[in-house]
Amino acid sequence: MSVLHSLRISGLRFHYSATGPAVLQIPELIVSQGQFVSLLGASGSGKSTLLRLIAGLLPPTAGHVDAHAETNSATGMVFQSPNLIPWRTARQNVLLPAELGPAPSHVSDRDVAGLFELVGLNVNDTRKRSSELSGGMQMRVALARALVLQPSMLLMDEPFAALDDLLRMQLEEDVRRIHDERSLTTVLVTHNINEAVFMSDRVLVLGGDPATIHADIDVSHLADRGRALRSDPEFHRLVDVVTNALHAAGSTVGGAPRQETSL
Amino acid sequence: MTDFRRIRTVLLECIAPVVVTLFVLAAWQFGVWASGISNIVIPSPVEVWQALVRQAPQLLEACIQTATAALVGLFGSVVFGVSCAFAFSQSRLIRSAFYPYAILLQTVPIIAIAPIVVIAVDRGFYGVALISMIISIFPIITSTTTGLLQVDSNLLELFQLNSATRWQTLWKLRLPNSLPYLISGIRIAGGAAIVGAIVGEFFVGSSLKGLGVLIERKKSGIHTDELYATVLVSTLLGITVFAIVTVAGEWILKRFFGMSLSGAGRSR
Repeated sequence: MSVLHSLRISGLRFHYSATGPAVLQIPELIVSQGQFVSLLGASGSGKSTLLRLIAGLLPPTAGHVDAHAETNSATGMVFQSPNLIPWRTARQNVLLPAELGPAPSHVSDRDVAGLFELVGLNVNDTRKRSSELSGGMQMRVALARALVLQPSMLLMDEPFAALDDLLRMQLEEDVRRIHDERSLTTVLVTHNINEAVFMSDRVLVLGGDPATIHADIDVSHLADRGRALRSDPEFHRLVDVVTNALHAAGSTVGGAPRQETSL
Repeated sequence: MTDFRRIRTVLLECIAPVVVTLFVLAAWQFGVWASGISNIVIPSPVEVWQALVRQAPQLLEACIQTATAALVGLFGSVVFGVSCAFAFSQSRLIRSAFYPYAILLQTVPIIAIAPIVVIAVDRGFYGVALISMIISIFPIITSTTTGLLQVDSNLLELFQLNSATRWQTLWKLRLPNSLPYLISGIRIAGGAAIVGAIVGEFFVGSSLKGLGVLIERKKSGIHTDELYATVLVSTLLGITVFAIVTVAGEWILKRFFGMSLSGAGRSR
């Protein structure tokens, strides 16, 4: 059986200005449908830039970024801050993507209710504005909004960075469960090594100047992504492997000799 | 904050300015009495109060006249100012071409152009309303343009990600985002509109009975206490407009948009 590719990047190069140096260079990256991939790296290693290129929010200077390479579906995105519109209720925020675009879509009440249940929000919370919601609830609303158009790809840019540890761990488990239930292809940007290993099938370590993928570590063989995994010896071994890869990539951030990659 | 602390804070915020006012009035009264200065030069607060009571019907009529002209001017400012801001936010070319002229409206002294407007447009109510509009439009244009342009970049990315049209971004994001800015602009413009109406009335002669006409008439007489009373009413009118816009604006923002004048909806 052939594997569907949700994301295919080839010969990607990105400059912020026409005359400036390349900040990101990815010769090739293929993500299969249903994979959970984390982008890990030091600050300035190009993680968020790569995510924005995948989302289509930035145009590549050279090369191709083909999200939904063999599918035809929407992309949902969760930003670092929940990014809720303050004058809308939680429900109205969730429905926002359905109202946008040249052909707004209809989302049934049943689908919305199912979505709230999926992300762990109760009906009463849906009538509240963002100022009345806690940080964790706001992030759940943002997640529901990213899923409302039933995307095949979910992009997340350090969504849990501002949350406390308990809430972060709960949301990590919830997001991984949703990823599995909905057969999503998920790309997560994170600074947190434990989070990357816990949630992902693959961890891509970025670094260098221009930034590129330094290591591609397969962590898909880890058992069930429940709480017990956090004390699993294999989980800790993989955390060490990723940490070492991150150190190796980090030592080259901003200092690596410029490599010419054939594009 | 506990209820007791909240009440104490509110009382402190209300009582402190009142105490200052009473102290200033007492010092003024004592100063006039102790110096023996003529009430034609500086009347005492008690004499101003007596003039206010004596002239109440005339002052009320003048106040209504001026307030009406100022509100018509302010309404024109809001309609025309928001339209300009809308155009400025949609095109950098339009902004570059016309924004300097908006600044011109603010920098030209109103006292200098008021007679020109009165002569050219109308030596009556509409001339006064137009002067009021000219002086009050700049804060509306600048604050609304800022509100339309200064949108959270992450929210713009969210709209971009969902292929929002230009109209959808304007209607669902930029316009609601600009509301606190617009209301802040109206707060400033409200006071300016009153000033504009009074200045306009200086030049229309006796065809109107506004506060400006009254000030112009009283300044050359011997009833300085009545001049002071008229100035006091003019000041109170400005404060009233500011307070109404602030309270109504806060209520609208909180009730319908979950925001406040001091900032958009905050996270808990």
